[in-house]
Amino acid sequence: MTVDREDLVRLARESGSILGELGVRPDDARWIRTHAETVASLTGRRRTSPLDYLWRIARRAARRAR
Amino acid sequence: MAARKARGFRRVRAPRVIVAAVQSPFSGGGAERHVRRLTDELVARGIEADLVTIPLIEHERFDLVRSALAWRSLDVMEIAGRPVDAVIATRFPSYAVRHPNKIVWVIHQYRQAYDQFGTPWSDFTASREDRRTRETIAAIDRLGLSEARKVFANSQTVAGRLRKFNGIASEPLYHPPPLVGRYRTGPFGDYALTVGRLDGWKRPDLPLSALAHAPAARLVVVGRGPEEERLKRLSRELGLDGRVRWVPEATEEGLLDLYAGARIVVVAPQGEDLGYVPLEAFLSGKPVLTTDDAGGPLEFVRDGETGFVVPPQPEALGAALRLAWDRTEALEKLGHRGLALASQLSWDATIARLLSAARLSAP
Repeated sequence: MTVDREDLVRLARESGSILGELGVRPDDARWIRTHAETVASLTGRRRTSPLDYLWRIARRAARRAR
Repeated sequence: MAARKARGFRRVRAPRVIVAAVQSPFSGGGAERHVRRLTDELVARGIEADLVTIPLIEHERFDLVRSALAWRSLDVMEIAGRPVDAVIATRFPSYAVRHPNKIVWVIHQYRQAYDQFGTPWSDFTASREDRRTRETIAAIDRLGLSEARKVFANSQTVAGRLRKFNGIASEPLYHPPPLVGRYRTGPFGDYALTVGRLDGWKRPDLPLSALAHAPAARLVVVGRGPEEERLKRLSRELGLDGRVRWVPEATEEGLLDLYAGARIVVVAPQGEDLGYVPLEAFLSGKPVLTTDDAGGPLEFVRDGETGFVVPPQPEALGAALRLAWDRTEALEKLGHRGLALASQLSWDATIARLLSAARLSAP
């Protein structure tokens, strides 16, 4: 399965924002990283760079949502 | 359009309602049966209702948040080109779902994070992650419930917890037990009956230990669970063999027979949400013996009126059994009052209240 990078970014941003709404804080770094891993798993392979990128996006979205 | 309204025309289209529920794969319990029944009862009244479930599988704490996220991410405003008129959400975290006409009928909060925290029934510790999980569960509850058009609870006990822990007002809304319409009365047999999963917090050891203080009484235990072996050992240690019958699994008909033939039904859990067992006992014309910390059952079991309420000690339950055992006439009277009380519950009234809160009516 291949997922467009833009779709992944959108998913990370939207779901990161919902995580913030649900009470997850930017300093819950392990949870946000876990979430970013779930999103990144849609690419079908584990790579460090997109994970870090998505983690930053999700974390930023969670911060904004609170 | 105004003229149509003035003449009292109603829309022809059946309202579309989603029942949102959490699934526990491979352990279909009372909550799963309840939401299926709710959906069926809506459909029976002409509502286009469907059950939507998402499993909650907890491998790690984050899975609770992940499940809430899944509900929150759903767009159920419109399905297949037609609007969804209302969502009735039930268990945590299904009420995180978004809908402008969301009704929540809370049948379960995540009790381990609230009233069970600090007891042997909760595995939450004082760790940072567990503390944050409890805070997040409270945040999810606050968000999901405060945005609902109306919050119902399945009992006063659950409504009380929502008020105490979340500051959220809710209306208790009762419903009949699962086999309503099929319960039957019968002669008072020679056994007390206890029904439920053999879990620690359900305290199945209480009715068993009570037998040691009521030499004439016999007990039928319906259910299975992690405590099964320990209870059988306890029964042997107390010398109760021959007075206890174990029924790990009963068919629906078998259960109806057991209720119909019981002398009294014993309900021992602590802080039960609602508890179908007292209602099932009453609809079978049997009185209930319960404890003063039982929670939901106390909303129906009144001491000396529909049963007996005693402190949660084997001696107290045993004394009640001993005193009541040979007074079948008195037990019959209590059972009849219970029957009259439980017969007032109907799905008609429950569904009407849910629909009116959602500002919908059956076609």
